[in-house]
Amino acid sequence: MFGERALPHVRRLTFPVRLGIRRVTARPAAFVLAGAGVALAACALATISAASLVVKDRAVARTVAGLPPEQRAVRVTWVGAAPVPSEAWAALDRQVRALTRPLGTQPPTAVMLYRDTRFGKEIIRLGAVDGLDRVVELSSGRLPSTCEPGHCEVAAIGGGGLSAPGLPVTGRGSLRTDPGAAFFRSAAQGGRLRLAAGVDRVSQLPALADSFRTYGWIAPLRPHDVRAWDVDGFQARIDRARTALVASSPNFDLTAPTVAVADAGAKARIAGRRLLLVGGQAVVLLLAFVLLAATRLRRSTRASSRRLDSFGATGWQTRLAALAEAVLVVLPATLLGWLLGAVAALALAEATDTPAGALISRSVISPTAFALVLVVAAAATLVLYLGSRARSVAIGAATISIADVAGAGALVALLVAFAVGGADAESLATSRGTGIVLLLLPGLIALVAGVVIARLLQPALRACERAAAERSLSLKLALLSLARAPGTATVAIVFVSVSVGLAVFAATYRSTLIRNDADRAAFEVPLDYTVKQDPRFVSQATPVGSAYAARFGAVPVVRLQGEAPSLDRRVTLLGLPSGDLTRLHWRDDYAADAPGALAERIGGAPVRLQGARIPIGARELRLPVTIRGDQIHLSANVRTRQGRFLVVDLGEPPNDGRPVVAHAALPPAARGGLLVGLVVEFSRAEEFTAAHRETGTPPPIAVFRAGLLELRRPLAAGPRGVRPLSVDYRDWVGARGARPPAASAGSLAIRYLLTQGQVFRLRPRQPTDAGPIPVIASSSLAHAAGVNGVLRLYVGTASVNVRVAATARRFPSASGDFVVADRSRLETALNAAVPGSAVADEAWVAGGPGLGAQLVHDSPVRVTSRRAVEDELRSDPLARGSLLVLAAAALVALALSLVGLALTVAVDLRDEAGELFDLETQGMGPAELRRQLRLRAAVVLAAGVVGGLAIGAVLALAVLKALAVSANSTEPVPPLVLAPDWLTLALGCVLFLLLAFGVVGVLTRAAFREQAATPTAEAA
Amino acid sequence: MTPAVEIEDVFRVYATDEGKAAALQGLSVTVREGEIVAVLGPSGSGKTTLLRILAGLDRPSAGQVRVAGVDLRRLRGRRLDRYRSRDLGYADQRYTQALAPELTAGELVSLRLALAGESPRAQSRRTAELLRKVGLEDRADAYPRELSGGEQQRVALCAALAHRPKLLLADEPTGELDAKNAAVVYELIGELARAQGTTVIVVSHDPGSATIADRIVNIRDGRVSAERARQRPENDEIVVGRGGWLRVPEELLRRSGIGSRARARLAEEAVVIEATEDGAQPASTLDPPTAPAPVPEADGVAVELRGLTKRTGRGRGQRTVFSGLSAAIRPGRLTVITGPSGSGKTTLLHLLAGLDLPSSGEVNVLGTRLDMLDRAERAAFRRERLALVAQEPPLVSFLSVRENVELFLGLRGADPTDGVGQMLAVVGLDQLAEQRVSRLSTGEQERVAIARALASEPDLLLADEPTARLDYANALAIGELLSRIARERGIAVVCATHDPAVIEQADAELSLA
Repeated sequence: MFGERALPHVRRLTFPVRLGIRRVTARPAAFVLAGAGVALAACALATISAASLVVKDRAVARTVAGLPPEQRAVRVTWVGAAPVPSEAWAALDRQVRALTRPLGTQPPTAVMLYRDTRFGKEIIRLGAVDGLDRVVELSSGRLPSTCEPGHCEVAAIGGGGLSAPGLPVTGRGSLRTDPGAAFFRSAAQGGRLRLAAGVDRVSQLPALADSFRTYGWIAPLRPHDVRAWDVDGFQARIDRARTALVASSPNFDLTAPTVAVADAGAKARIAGRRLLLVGGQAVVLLLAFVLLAATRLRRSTRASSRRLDSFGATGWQTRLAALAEAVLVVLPATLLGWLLGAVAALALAEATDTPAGALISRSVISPTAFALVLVVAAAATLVLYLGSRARSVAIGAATISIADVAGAGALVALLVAFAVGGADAESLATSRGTGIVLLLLPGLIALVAGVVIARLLQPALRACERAAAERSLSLKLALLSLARAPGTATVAIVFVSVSVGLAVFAATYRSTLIRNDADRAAFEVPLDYTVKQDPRFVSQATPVGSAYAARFGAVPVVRLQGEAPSLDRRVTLLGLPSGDLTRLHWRDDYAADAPGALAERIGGAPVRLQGARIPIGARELRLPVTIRGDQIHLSANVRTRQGRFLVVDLGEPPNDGRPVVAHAALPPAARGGLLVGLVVEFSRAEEFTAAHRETGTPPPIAVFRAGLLELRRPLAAGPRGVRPLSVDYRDWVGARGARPPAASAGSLAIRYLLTQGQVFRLRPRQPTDAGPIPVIASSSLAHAAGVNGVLRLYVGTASVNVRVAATARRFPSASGDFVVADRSRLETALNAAVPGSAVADEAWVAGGPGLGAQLVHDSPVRVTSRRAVEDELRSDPLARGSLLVLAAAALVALALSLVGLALTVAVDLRDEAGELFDLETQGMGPAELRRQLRLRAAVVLAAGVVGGLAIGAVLALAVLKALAVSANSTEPVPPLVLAPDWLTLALGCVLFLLLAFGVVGVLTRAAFREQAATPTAEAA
Repeated sequence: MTPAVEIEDVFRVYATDEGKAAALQGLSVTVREGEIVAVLGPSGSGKTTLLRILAGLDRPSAGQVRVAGVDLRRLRGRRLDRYRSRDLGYADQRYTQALAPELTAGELVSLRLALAGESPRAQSRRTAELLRKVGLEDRADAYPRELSGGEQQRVALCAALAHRPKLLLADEPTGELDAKNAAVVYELIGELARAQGTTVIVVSHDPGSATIADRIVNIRDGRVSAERARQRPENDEIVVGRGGWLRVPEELLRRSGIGSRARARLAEEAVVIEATEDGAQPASTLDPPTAPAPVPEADGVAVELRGLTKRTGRGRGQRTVFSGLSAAIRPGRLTVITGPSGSGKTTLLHLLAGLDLPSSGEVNVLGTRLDMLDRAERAAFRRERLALVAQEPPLVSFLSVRENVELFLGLRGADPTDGVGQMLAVVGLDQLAEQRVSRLSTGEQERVAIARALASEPDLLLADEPTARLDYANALAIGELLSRIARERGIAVVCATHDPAVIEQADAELSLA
């Protein structure tokens, strides 16, 4: 193969490689730990890769399972009239089944529905299903079985149920929750739906041959029909099927929950990317462990290199031998680790009922995974090679090592990364580069922190020398060895720091995510429950806020969506009793001030809406008026006893200048209420005409109404007679709070000039008329409000002036810009402007788990429980997966830290065997020797734990800054704040220290057992 | 003809935490091609530094070093690699560290050839030839750990010669060998050097090296102090350095009573150096022995061994070091344990120190059955009664010379500062008291261990090859010192050695042959 002249060169090249291999194979034990670190790194990456995919898959499955039944299916519909129904349906059915087969769903259920058709006297909606029992739940009778022309048995769905000619009803029932049943859900309204068995037969009924019909094929989507790795593929297959169907007939349509699935896929992708953070952490940790193991090999490697030097090996031969050693350790270890990772992935697939083949092929043996493993192997080889060989370079008085250079580079990379900005949920879902940043982030931070710690340790360890004076012999030796030979101790401390730091980070980040779940739940539900009026029901009952405040001590809340036109912003207005601010779940970062202080800024004595009380026995409201001018419409605003608002229509009195009494019956709810205003508006008929006239052309200037309106004191008529209401028009105001000039206690005259759509209100003066009401405003809104801080906000047609009395970055349950006011002021001001515009239809209730059932009892309300929200967030597979992996990462980091410490002690015992032997020859007993080693290990441990806490804190803060994503991979609202679980951290530290001392104790005890002393071991 | 080696005014200064230390201070020497030069000198005189510079493993701080006309200071990269791989053979003083533990003796010998790309056949042939010459042909497959110290040393030498270097540098090639094996090694060096025209520089304290040397160069304090050609064995030439500096041999100074001051005057064609009255030399502890005082008859027995057997290893690898050994060692005497390499001298000392336990038999030391004590009790016994100077004493590397001695005085409950300076002066290390022991030469470390042992005033002093790395004068002085201490303090001093300088001063000998 090689020429004679080339052979010596080949031998010179291959011999160092053989030498390296020989060295590893002759003493495999020396390399076991480094190899184990590499294997674990590879295994961790493979496992995390698989776990990430499983978590994503479960998230997608959960999303699919959570869809409403009508959406949880692929639906193909064909709408039209079939000229030859029998042939047409069979052909359509074959076509649909052929095209939907590749979708991977269950075989579709065929359904059909005719338009409303008259059968005799009955109007019937006739439908058919293949497999009627899956769709209909019978309450009586039996399921239909035959369908022949002139005699087609049907089941009646819903009410009614009379038989029609040719359609005998065999049973009655309701629709199940099956996706197939969802096809008929809307048709079942009105009780005219009849379902027969067998689409084929029903579609051939001659009587309906020309009828318009809808065929449907409903393929239920099971949770695992769409896999996380196949979301895009599913979408593509749906698109292909839809295109093919529509191409064959425009009557076809195909719908599937592709948007929901795509959203789930995006969320899952975020979670997967966050797992990269943990993956990166694991790799960093294990590479740090490899570095530690490599430095433990340094003495042996240097001795080996020295030997080769003295035997005349050239520089490259020495390096090649060392590189061969590293490769020989790393390569099999990587393969072994990857294999173990594959086994773990298989176990994971088995445990989670995930298809093993798909999981493995898309995670462990995917091209990305191969690339990752190559990177890890290359990095590990480099770490092992450099870690065992690299030396420091003296530049002037400073000594620069390769670690310093790497640390400086990492710092620059970090600064650039943070200058560019963090990653939020959106960027995580879309950006590919973000993943790399996350993968590298723990490594870069750990590297910088490690170098900083190493640098700080030098003076600290030198201080040990001063501390050694006047100490016991064992302590003195321990301190002097650290001070004068700090190399190995520094590496050990840095490793323990990094591993403990990563564990602290993992634990802290985990507790932060858990805390954020709680915060999110508390943000969404500021007390224990939020009760809201069910918008589907119109109720004249007492508003939820007031009702629940009375019954359950709840906080009544006014929630409105408004606008600040001057700022062009949408604003959420919240009104709640200012004193109740202190009851809310509050986080210190919401505002600079405490809730109590905020409450004082917006609080004060509660105010009430002013008005004239209507006697409870009144039946009619009468208003003496005189109108001279154009016709106008009059109505009265009444606040009911329950706190709601009614409009009592007084009609359009004659406008001929004669005094008349406008009157209207008082609805029961208005009796005993408050008259809070009178409304003068465009004549309804005129308004309609004007609006009609306006259409298509600019409004003519003539569209207005003018005149003089004289009002006298309103009267309430009832069984006990007619009584004037306690109205004093001198205290009434008109537009913009202006008092009408011609007002006396019992009468009032105003000139009116109304344009179309304009409403003129007369109302009693309100306490809030005095000035803007104080509010807590969101920071950006407050900033935009300017120096005086006064804003005019609009809620529909009602406006209110507010003054920014305090600012808050966030307020529970409010998103975007918000203002929070005292409920009584906000209600009064808004209801004064437009009665009924502010009602406390929400209540925040405090109470235990049993309260939920009481809250919904007999009330058309929607109740949200804080615990339920929190449980929902926690039970999300993405959240659970993230938290589980973080917990595992913390434990692995601590375990590796223990192994690293054990390795340090073991190698110290080996490398210092000579010195220990010397000490023993001079009479130092085993106990003193142990004590010396234990003291040194204790110093390493203590420094490592302190450094680890610092690294953990820095890492957690940096990651929080870089990664604004909640546990279930959405935008965290409120944002994540560092929330160390101090108790867990303290217990973890104590447990770690106990275990560490145990490990050191066992190793040092074993080293000085009752046997012969060991003389100097050969250094290599 | 170009000299093989030219060294001119070479300085080598090391920066240490304690300041700068000069290992070589203007050393100049020239070696002709094919010449065998023995470099002698006390420990710490710079012998090993000189060899490392010549081997290209270190560089001089100043001065010229040329080998075959090539300036070593300018050699870099490939040229340096080529010089070291082809032209140079280097036998390290610390052969135990030089031999890769994962390679067999045969592989070690052929290592250079393999690195140079020689064919496997050529490697085998050469390896077999060399191993046969040193009597290790049947040990080719043995790993270093399976070889005795002497065998390892011979393998290291064969490895250094395998590629037929132009220049062979051997650092204490017979340090651990008994006289017989040392003679074999010297014979090998001489034979190979002359057969191949190899230039040889042997650093040794062993007078046996002179048997093959064409020239003997003495160095002291980093300078050449004297030279002697083999043809004129009785006439040492004192080297006159630049500026007229010359080093008068210690022997002459002592005989003439010259201490710290002297007066020189011209007498016809000679320079006469005389002692001044205030510079006369005081009596030194390391003075060579005068007539030994008669050995008093000591009472009792310090050490008694009965039926002592020691085996090492397990199973098929088990080896009996010695069997049924019985002996008694009396106090007030210097007893030497002699025997060839691998005969168990070190093992026996470890048994006497309680560092190891016998396979069977009794070890009675100073009235205590050590084989009946546990490890802690044996340590306590050593602390109170014994001192051991181990072979290549590891010492505590991060402590200074003084701290090492003080540490053990403290360990024994004595005043840590008591007599430390005096004891260091006894072994000639008072100038190096603040140096970290890791900076010292092997011989100097050996002397630290001796000072430490003596300072502790033990009842039994054990020493394992204490003079293995010392020059003859120092070895002689150490031997005398041990003998004198045994007599003066009435303690038993047991010394495992093959050094005639010590053996000749012994009062008793226990041979493990």
